[in-house]
Amino acid sequence: MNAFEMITLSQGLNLSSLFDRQQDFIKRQTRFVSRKSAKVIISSIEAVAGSMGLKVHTRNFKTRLEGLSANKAGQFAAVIEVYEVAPSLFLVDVRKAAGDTLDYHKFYRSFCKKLEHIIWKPTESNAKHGLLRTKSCDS
Amino acid sequence: MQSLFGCFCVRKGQRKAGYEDPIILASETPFTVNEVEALYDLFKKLSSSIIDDGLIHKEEFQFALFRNSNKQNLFADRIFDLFDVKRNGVIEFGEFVRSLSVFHPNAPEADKIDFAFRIYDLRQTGYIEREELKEMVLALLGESDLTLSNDVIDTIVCKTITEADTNKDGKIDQEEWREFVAKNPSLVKNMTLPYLKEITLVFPSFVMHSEVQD
Repeated sequence: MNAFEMITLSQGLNLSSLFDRQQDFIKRQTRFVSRKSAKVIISSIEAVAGSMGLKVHTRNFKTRLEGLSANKAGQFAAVIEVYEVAPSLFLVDVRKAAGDTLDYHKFYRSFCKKLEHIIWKPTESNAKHGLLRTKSCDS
Repeated sequence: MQSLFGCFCVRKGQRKAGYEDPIILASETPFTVNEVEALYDLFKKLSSSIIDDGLIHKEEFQFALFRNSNKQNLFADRIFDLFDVKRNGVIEFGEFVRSLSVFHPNAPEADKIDFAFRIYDLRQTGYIEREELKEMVLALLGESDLTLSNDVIDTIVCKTITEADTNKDGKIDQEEWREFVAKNPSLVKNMTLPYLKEITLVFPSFVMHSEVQD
């Protein structure tokens, strides 16, 4: 994944929100970082989704999860894509594909709790470096 | 402000400031007159959410994108500034339609690629510099509540610049950007809004007061 592909994930660049009729809004896009291998990430996602009662379909680092909404009255679907951002560093982008936004956020919270073992949360020591300094590209 | 185009609207009654004749706008963009009228319904909704003056203010734009009028976002700022062609701090209806026309599925790919370049050329120097690319990556990470180390971010930025910067001057010019997009077409996928072809379905209320059948 190059820097521009990462940038295009931004909500500020997604003008389709202008046409949304929904009044409620919480973050529609959610993502996390992992240092596990792509294979481990995908198999963990599939296992957790299965345990949550969702149908899983994966192709080419893109996984679709489908199921019924919390009140069983409608469809629920989410799409997950895994991007390699740097060696051994993956960005996992999770998006709601169908269903209620509130349902989606409940799903995402529960989903992430079960995936704690693959989600990388940088600590102060391993993340901190002067943000002001941009190192030269020729080094 | 009463624009020159206001005279076309006399038979329809009062129009707010910044309104432009749909026939003129349709002739200059890929939109049909009915689509421009549907866009006017959308424009009215967006431009009245906070200050009801027929103009889209930055807070109203932020509200439309994030449902939060105070949400600061680098990319939304860039798009707002590009839509605000007159640079008077607000988006008028004509600016809205003309700018959105680049996002129409039928708009030339070259226009979309050039518009994207202008978004990313943060300081409008004619180049996308390494610092600007880094600033944008940091903005995306901040927006997503993600943290990566400075070294990792530099690596990502350097790798991208190196790939795109074919004349090795350390920055990306417009021609290099075009070549880079030709190799990575998904980079401009958010420059097309399929909704724009269905706008008359999304805002059907216009059908009752349309001036023109097309």
